[in-house]
Amino acid sequence: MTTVSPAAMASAQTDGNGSQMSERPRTRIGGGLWRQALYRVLRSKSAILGLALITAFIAVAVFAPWIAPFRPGDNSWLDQVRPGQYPGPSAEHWLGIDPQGRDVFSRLVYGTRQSLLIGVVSVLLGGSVGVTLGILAGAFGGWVDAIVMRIVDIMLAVPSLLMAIAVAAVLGPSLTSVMVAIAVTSVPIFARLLRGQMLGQRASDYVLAARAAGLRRSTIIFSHVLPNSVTPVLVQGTLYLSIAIIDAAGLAFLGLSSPDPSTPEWGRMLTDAQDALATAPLLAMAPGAAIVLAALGFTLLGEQMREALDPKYHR
Amino acid sequence: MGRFAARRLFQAVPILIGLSVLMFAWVRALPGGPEQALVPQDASAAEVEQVRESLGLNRPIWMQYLAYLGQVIRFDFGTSLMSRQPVRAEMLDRFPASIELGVSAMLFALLVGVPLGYLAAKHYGSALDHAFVTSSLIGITIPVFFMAYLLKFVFAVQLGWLPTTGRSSIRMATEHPTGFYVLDGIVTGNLMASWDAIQHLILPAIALGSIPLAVIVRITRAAVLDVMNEDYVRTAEAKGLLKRTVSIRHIMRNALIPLVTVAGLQLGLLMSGTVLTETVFAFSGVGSFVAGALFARDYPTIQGFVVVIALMYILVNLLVDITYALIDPRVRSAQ
Amino acid sequence: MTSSPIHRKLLAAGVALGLAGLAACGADESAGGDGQTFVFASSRLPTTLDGAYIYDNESQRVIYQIFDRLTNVEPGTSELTGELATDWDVSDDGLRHTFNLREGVKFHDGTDLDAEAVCFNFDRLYELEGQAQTLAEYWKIAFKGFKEDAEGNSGDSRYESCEVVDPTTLTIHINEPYAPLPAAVANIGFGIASPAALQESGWAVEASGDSLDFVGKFGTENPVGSGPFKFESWDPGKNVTLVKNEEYWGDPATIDTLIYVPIDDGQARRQALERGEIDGYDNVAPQDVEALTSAGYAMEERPPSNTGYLAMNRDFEPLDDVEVRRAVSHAINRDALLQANFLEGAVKPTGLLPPGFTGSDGDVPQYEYDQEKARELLSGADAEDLKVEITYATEVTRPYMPDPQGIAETFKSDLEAVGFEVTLVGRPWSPDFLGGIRNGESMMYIVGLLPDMSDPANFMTLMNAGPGRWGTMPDELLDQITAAETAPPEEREELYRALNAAVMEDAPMVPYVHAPTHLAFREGTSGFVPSPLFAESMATVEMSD
Repeated sequence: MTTVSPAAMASAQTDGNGSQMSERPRTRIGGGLWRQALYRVLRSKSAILGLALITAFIAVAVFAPWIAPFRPGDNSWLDQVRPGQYPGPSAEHWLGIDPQGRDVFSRLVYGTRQSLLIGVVSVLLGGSVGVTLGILAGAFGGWVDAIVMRIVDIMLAVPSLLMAIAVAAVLGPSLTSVMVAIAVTSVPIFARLLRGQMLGQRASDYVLAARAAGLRRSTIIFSHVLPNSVTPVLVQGTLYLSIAIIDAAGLAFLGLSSPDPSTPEWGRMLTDAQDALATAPLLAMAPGAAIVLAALGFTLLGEQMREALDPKYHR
Repeated sequence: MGRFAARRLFQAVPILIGLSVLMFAWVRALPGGPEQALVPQDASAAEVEQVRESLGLNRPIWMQYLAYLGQVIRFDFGTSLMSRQPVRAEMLDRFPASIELGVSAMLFALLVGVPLGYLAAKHYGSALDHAFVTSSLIGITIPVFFMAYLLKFVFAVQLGWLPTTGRSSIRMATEHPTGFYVLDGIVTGNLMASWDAIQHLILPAIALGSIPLAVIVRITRAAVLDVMNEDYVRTAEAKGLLKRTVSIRHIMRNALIPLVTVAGLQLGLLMSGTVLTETVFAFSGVGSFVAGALFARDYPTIQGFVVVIALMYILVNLLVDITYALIDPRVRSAQ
Repeated sequence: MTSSPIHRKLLAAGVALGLAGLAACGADESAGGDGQTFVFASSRLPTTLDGAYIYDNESQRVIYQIFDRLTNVEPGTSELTGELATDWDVSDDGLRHTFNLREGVKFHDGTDLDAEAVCFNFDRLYELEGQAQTLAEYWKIAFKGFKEDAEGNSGDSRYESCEVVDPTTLTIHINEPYAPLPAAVANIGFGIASPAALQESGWAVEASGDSLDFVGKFGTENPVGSGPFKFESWDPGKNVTLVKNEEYWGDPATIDTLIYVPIDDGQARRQALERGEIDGYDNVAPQDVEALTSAGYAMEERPPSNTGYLAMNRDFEPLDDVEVRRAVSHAINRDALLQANFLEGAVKPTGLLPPGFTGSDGDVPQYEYDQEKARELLSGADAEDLKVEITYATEVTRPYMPDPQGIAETFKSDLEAVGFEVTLVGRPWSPDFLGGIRNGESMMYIVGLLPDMSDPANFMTLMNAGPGRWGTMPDELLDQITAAETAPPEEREELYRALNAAVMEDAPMVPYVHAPTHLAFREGTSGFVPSPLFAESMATVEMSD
């Protein structure tokens, strides 16, 4: 073999399109390998960092009402605001006041909920549809495979953000449409991944053996093929969470997030604060940093998981 | 090789047909209708109905689809509602802009990314390696529009080194025979116009290029690492070949395969990125125009542009496949 | 030669490359020394230069320079005066308006601007057909319908005919009294165009595919009027260029070339001015006014002639209850809102009509910020649930809403503080936001009125446009509005005063601001007179160097 390892390629593939590269047989990961993998993940500093970031953000999201000093919609400080002049950080307001007279820190804390929610829901949604399509294509082959893969090709023929904008435009700007839009863009990626897994494993020894033993197709799929596909889907899902959070910010920038801007969300906060970069840089830097750190957390963990589970890296 | 290309081309046909149906269905599914965008702000319901009638929106849906297909085949997409210009004229104006930007961004990413990735691999495990890999990670996690805003704020607004928006200076009197401004300046012998266009390209290209940059650093690094450990490289080194010969002939050429694939795959991301980058820099390309058209419910523009974008996207992917096959003959037989 | 960094760099590059010869033809045209070029940045270019088909300020500001009208307002005021007409008469029954024209005025193409040419213009508008009718807003404001509607029936127009009495006298006949007529024909929709150019290029509008096309090229390629500037060229999406009319009947312009360029983003407009790429721009963001002024730029303030308001559609519960609408009015802290979003020149409204308009000075019911009062009114009202939805426009700013979303968020906070449950919905200005208002889908929405003419009938008529338009009013107020419009001139002032009070009594909206707008010009620019009606000529503008 002189080609580059698929995992190395895919690990550099943030949009996940590269998962088509993984269309090759994998050896079954036994319990021992799992433990090994877990051990390897936990030994990696970057994985620990990723895990720590994710845990911290989840904690902030869950305990938002106890962490935030004020309600996110409280505009009691509007009388301190003048056009282009917003009070900066103080002991009471750690990150200052926004142009609508609200506490920025409180909004950032509450915003964690929205942003994580968007990420998780859209990945779950897109993942499950994509996985189903992939299984259909891989399991039935023939014309089912042809149709599913043509659909996937069509979806891939439109740049993902344009696709997301298109979906959000039909559904109207709302949180739901953002989630659906991001989910839609992830469908072809999961579908391809699963199909590749199925095809690869169909040819593998143990499935051949199962076939020879007279097991039904559905039994083989559900008891052999699927369990072995869980890991790559999990890895892809973790990585896609980071893309979902970044894309959600992009959609917010284009005015396609929740129609009610008073519900704080990082992408929206960042977008709204950009014109104030000169006078109140924290307004934009705070949500910007939150997005980067959250996306970083998921990327670090996802990549370490992938490396840990890939035999290629067992040097 | 020819057969391979023909087959891939043939495979694109159903995609295109499917896309045209999807496109049509999508436009009709949009809330409101094209007529809403056409009538003035306080038109009566009767006036709206009159416009619907004259646009043929009361015809059966399949007739509307056929009419639309006819438009696509004739490459006649009507008149943009936003600019009141023929959509075709807008395309001639805006596709060169986005291609110019996309190519510059890719150039930036390759020129910076490949050497960085190579260096990182050469110094595998060193502090340098870690620094490159980590910063490339942060590069992909910064939303591109935020990156664009930061660049614009620092280098254009605060330091004033580069222009903030647009493709050329307002007072720059130029002609645009090709629509590629840098090229136009050279063609018309107006080098200052070219220089002006380049200045306007720098910041958007860096912002947009930051998306593929991170990936290219990592892919180059991974590829070089992989290839370096292969037997033939070790053999070559053992044979005492010049270090540079080994680097270039053996390592880089083989590392090229994944690089081409990834560069191709990055095009989709790049196109997505242009929507955001062009908006920040008011760069009058395809991305910002289509995004604007969506909000203005500019149906003729949306329909025309999305079809052409998809066409180009498919075409580029085809080219990537063919290039890939050229570099790596195994792909042809593997199909 | 401008001294902007980019030009210096360009010049340096040119010299360095040994191409100094090219520099002269490649760079800034004003460097050539053959007259002054003024570059003005608007947020976008005109849709057409045919005034008949526009209803927006960006088209208006360009068209204004090319055409003259029968009447106009005195610069910087809303006082009506003659322009092409030296004077005019109204018959006792209010049905005949006779205008005496200025003599010897010529169009840019050299043809005569006489009574026949003026009547040609009015008849052209009256006889507009099909799609053109949907676009001709100003005609509809002044004369209602057209000669024929879409079905070929009589179009229910106020207009009868235009009679040429002699080459410099004409009479416009209408079939019902309409006191605002002389003021109405002062607006941009009634710019007098050269009949020869109109006939040569045509003015038809047609639907094709999913779009409306200007098939007639008068407004896009051949707009010929009699104003201080002549049309030179239009590079779609990039610029519109006008040149000085040397034969202008009034004082000729000092600027030789006037270029309009579109810069969509307010921050980018400011930066373009600071870089010396443009010489002036409109709608300076409130937070930029002070910074630019202290940096030496010439700042002009347009008087606050607009009204921004939160409209309440009474077709929705609980807004059908006048007590609830009054509670909303009391709940909003307009002082804090004004202070945070507008500059000092902004005026807190007493009613719908901006200061200075006839009838704006009456005794109008006021709703001061009082949360207790609001809660009290709400508990008295029999509204079951206090769920409301506020729609705001995205993608635009207006003088009365420099940040529509921010203002909506403030309304939400204020209303929730007294017990409302508020949902915000942002929709793109055109077509979604305007369509939502038109179709009566929007419950509460943030809009404003900019004056089309110096007559109070303007705002009242716009508000009167039925349910779900710019506002909603009960029938008795609609009758009052029609009565005021057709009443003899001497009675109108009192009628509008009463009307202004009656409207606020009914509380169909919360007027929150009359906002000033600002234009910034390059240092040393003078002679620009900001107008409450956007009747702003560039002919008087002088540049220092």
